[in-house]
Amino acid sequence: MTSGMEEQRAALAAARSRLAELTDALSGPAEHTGTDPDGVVMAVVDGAGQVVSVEFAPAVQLLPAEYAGPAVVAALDAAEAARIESITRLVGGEQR
Amino acid sequence: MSDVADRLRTLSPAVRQALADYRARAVELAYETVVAESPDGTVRVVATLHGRVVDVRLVPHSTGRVDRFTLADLVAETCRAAQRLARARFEEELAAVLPPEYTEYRRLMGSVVRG
Repeated sequence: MTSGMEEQRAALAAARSRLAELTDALSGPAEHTGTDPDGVVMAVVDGAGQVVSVEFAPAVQLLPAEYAGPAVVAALDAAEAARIESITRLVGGEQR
Repeated sequence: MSDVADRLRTLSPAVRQALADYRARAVELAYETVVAESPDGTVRVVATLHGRVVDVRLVPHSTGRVDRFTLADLVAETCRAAQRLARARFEEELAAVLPPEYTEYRRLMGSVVRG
């Protein structure tokens, strides 16, 4: 009986720790980076998908402004894909 | 207690329907967008109500006129502004979906759980 309760407590502690890990991944300090295919923009998003920063390579000043916007979106898409992949890995780990 | 249980039972179908409507609306909101512009008008960002940035426009010649660090900060801040706006609209749209029965259900359920 006691052993059953201890097992339950251990399972609850493990579930709490897993939940904390997932919560950190979604809202904590985790950061994910993405770059556009031409390497002109690097973007960083946090665990919740909020934009943290954007960086332009020096070459941006030689390119038309019309090019820069889509490059920012491509870099953000890549950062978002990295974020989703990281969360999927964590959730996949939970199912094992 | 039995009055509370009866009331919860009565409210249950309305709450189930409300939550189904809530989920459906939350999915739909991925196709609605908000727009944010930097204070100087150099950057314009469109984001979905799920917070995804789908369009960024810079005024012509801004890449040559503004230094790249200032421009990058301006773009990032305008993206964050669009995401904040999207979050506020998302919450506002979803709050409108939930009927008063849901609020009552939550309150009664809370009283049962807390004893």
